[in-house]
Amino acid sequence: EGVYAHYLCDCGKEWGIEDMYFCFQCTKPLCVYCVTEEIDSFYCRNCMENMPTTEAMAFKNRCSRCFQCPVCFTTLQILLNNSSGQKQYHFGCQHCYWDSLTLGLSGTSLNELLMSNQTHFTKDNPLQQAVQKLQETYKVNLRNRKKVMYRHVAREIWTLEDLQKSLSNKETIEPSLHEPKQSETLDSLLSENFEYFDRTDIDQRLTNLSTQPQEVNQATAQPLPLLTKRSKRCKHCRKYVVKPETLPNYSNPFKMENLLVYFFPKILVREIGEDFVALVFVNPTSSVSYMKILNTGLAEGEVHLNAYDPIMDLVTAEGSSENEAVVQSREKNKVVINLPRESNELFFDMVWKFSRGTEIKEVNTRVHIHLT
Amino acid sequence: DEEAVVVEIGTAYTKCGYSGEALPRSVVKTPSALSNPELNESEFYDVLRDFLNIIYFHKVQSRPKEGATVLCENLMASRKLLEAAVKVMFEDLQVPIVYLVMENSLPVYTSGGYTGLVVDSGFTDARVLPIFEGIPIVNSYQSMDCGLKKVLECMKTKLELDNDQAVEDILVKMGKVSFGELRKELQERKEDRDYYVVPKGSGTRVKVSLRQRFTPEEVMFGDYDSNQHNIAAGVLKSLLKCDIDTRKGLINNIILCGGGSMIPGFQERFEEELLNLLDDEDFSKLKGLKDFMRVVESPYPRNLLNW
Repeated sequence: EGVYAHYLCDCGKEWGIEDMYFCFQCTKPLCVYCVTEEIDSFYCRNCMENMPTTEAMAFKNRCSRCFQCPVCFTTLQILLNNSSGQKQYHFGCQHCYWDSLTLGLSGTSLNELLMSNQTHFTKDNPLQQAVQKLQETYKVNLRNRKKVMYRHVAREIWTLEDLQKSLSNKETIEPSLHEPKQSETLDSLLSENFEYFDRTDIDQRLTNLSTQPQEVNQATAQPLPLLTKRSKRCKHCRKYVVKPETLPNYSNPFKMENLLVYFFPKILVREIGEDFVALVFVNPTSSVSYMKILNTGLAEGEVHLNAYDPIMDLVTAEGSSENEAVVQSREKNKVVINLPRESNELFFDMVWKFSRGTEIKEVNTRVHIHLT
Repeated sequence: DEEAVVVEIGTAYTKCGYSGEALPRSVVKTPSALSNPELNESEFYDVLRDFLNIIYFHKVQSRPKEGATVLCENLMASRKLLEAAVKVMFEDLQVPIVYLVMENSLPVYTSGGYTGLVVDSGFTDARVLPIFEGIPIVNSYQSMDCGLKKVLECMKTKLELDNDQAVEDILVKMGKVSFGELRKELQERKEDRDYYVVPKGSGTRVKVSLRQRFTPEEVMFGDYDSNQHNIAAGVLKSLLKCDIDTRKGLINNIILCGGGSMIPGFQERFEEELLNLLDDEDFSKLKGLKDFMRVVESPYPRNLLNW
């Protein structure tokens, strides 16, 4: 519903101008699915610092200095408690007022605080060790099993010795003892002080993966996960379409950010008449550009659009375009054209020529106007 | 880095991370559209494309081009879903190699051996798969309709709640399974207790009774004699289908995994039920195995075992 213009991408789907990118080599508009993404760099959403990839991998894609609250996942702040005369640093959440004092995490200096938090994470290590031990056992087993397998294939007849050997190799399975485990009593359940909000919910448990505590006071502050800066490339010619800045403070004037809005005219609907639509074409570039509208029933000649240049203000073309008759009116860098319509959907093809530096680029697209 | 990305797309949750690490990097909810068996391949493709994009670029934060991917598939999941997932990986994300592994055949390796009985209490159903010397015995695969989905539906009707998220919240925070003394007491005594809670996702107070907390056990360990579903019975049925020589090794290495096994009291009740059922007539052939039953204890969180 609503009135809007959609551009057809090569993959067959339609998108508005805001959703598309532009590839200079293929001179084609690209939708989100026609660009391949790659991770370029990592940064922390709190301290805004860029993390080199090797450091990110060492810390499991998490920030080393910022932590998140185990209850509400907002970034934790380091708070200072000066009351007892001695400085005590601890973590606190400004949103839900959780603090790390409940876990006993505090320190007299910032370093001490961070160190005490690190010891909390050694809980992960036993699991990691267990996994490594399993891996080693299986590697050894694999070598041994391979030897056994090949030996069997080599011989065709089993001798008695072979049989005895393989039987003696089998591990005997001992019967296991079943000790009845202690369960809670109904009385204890009836009289226990059950606080619903002290129990962790599934998201909190899944953040604290190694321990998955059932009570909130067991949950620890996890380091903040990093965010990624991703570059996008055209699927066909593999040229960069968007390349992000690595450094947080430097804003590159020559940044690669080829969004379609910067190069292609925006089409707006000004007026819907009974048998026509008045469309406004806005020129986003800073030099005079040319367009042709095909397959509409109007004369198919070139129309020029003026442009706004950042330095020289309005840039007008010399002389008028060949198809001036089609143009209804001109305003600054816009052109209004009336197109005949028969239904609430309008399709037409467009050829757009704009210049970038000394080159002139020509783009063909199909446009679909919705009018409801 | 040379580590492969491991992705397990479960019905309710998807776990993703790197191989060689102890824990997955991230556990996210699987989009509900993926559990709909009616979808055709291109619809799966669209949903999966967005979802796998999030997994690779936001959760695992890997460069899919630079390493292999291990995809854990579910035996009973729609084939189209698997094909669409592989298509997304090869075409969209340009993964060079994809390894497909069968979901329930892997937890055996956490016990240090090659033989075991994997009991997965998942969302859609509870599954039992015996594995002997590394090879899954697919003929003896048992599936019982006591998944967490059913538990949630049961609780929904009992609590008269319509809100899915609220019911899941209550199950997570309050669900329990009784065993031993508590079980006897619950049957003999009639006392009850009401809790008034405000679950996440609902703004209103909900009344939950003590008995209702034990809903999971009604669904998962129903009364075998009256033909209700029972996970322990499923295990024994599966054993009956196995070769007689393999049974000892299998029952000695029972591995519980899946989200349902995280409910407090699950393991103890499972052992109890198994031992009791071995006395039952139907399973008289297996009675001799009673002494050898052993459920593997592991420090590893059960719901991540498949990953």
